Amino acid sequence: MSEGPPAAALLSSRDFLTGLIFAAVGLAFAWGGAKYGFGQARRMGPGYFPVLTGGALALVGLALVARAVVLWIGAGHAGLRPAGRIYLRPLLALTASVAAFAFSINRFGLVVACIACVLIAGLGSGSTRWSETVLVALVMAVFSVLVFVQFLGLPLRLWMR
Amino acid sequence: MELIDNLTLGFGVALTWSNLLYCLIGVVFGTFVGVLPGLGAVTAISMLLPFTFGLDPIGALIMLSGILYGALYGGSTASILLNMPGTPDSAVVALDGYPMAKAGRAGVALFMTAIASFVGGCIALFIVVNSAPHIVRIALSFGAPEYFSMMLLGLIAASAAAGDDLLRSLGMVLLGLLIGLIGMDIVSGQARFTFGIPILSEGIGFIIVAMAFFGLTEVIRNLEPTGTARSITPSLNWRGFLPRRDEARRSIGAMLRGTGVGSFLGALPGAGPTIASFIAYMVETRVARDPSRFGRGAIEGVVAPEAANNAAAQTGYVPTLTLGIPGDAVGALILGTLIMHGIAPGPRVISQHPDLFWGLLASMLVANLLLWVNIPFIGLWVRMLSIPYRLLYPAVMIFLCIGVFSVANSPFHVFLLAGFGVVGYVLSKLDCPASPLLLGLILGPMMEENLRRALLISRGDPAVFVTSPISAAFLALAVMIVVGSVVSRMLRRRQAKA
Repeated sequence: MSEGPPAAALLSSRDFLTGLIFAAVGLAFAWGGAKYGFGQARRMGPGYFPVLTGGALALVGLALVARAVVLWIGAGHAGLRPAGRIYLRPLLALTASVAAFAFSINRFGLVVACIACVLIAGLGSGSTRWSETVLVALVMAVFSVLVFVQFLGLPLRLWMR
Repeated sequence: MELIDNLTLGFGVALTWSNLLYCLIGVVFGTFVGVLPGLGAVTAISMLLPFTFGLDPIGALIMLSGILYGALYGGSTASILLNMPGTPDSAVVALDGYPMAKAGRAGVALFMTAIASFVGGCIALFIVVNSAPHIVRIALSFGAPEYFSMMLLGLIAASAAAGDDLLRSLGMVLLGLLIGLIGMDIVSGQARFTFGIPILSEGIGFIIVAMAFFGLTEVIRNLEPTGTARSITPSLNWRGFLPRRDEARRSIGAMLRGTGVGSFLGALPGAGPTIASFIAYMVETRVARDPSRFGRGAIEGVVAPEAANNAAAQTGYVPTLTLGIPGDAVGALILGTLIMHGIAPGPRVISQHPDLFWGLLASMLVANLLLWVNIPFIGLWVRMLSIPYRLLYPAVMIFLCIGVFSVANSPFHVFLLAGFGVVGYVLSKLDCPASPLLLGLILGPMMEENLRRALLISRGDPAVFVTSPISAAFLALAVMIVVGSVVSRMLRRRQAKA
């Protein structure tokens, strides 16, 4: 295993990371579920199924970790597939755009929420042309008011009170 | 004649003016979304789902099938004309459809696609009409242990079908089951995993998760800078719609084989239209006398997957509605809609809501026919493809936000959408398939309920799952699937090494 730092190959492999996440989430649910009362098999408590399912997920996670380690020992990083790269720009921009909608819909109304959502979403792509995106924001605000509120009758507040 | 009665009832429901209108709206919107790059049938349905809640259950389901058919057809259109399949559903059609379009025969490909869809749908409807009552008769004898084992089998089969790695898919199913536990426990009234947030005691709706995993995550992925700039040059040389005589002759056999493959696979839990179309294509390449024609515009390669696709969508409604076991993400969404409208899926759906069951099946054929209305507008749909993505995705974001908000008029749900979007994106980077999670989420509460009842009846003895022959058979099948996929993975690895 002369090629590259071997430990990094293990730590960044998709099997290892997935396994860790599964194991952690499974354990958290099993541990949380145990507090609700396990009961007995014939009278399942509210914690029975969570402990069972969470435990199973933790086992699956451990199996993934074990498989990654075995492959890593056997073949170095040749046998391990790395996790895909996470692109922060679209991730953050689109999450923020949804959050902006959530934040403003009841405070400032649909029109402001739509415009905020579209403009912040525009930050997510390198090919955004702002004159266009502003236009899209206005068009979508009008469209939403006409289609969702006027036509479909959704109870959405249009403006800040 | 029971059969005729059922069909009369079904078409009576499907052909009322209001349901025809819902179906038409669904088909048009579905085609619109399906044609757009990067948005497939599942995305289309989850995006438009909240806007059907105002309708009665039948209307909502009919509109959803309209959206499904429209989106499948729209996806095929984009595949054939641009070699740009938005989703795996339509990837197969591109293999031979695009070469046909390049040769100036796009009209033929699109026309035959519509015919194949219709033929596949018709034959599958006939099969469903004849087989559903038998399945129901068997299912009515099921008790809690049988149901639990069947759901387990369905989840495992769906995991095996969803990705190349069973462990990953199983993990996603379990994750879905756990997310489904969030909220109030029906039996004890205990609030579970709600962190003291009152609105969480109602649970996390499948719509939010579906919108996050199939909507938001997809948009984020499409915005990654690695996405190659799409050059959009639809090659639209119309030289008529009609196939050559030898093509027509070969299409007939291909349609029938595709329908057979699709009808069979669609009825199995865990398999769906996507797998059906892949396998139908494989069958065609094996059956053909000259396999080298495939990939260069062989009509069988277009017709068979389309027929299989539609047949599987049709027969897939049987396990979804009568057993409550959806085959794929679309089935899961339909099932979730049913539950939201207060209809418990199960063998009694046909006897208690015959208008819904038969009306839905009939409306699928109607949706197929309405697709033909689209054909003259293909030019228009194609022009929409030239809308750049940078203008499109902000509009999609609005649909996602308003859709989720309108489920309960709660901004909290929209924040949840953002959170699950991040989770979905990270999981997609780890190659974890999303549809097993959705299946687990929807089946979770029912599985817990049936496990609880089975163990209550057996006084806590888990042997009840193997002493019932039906339950034991389901479990044995599940074990076989697991062993089979492990063995095939090991064989592949050995081959790769050698």
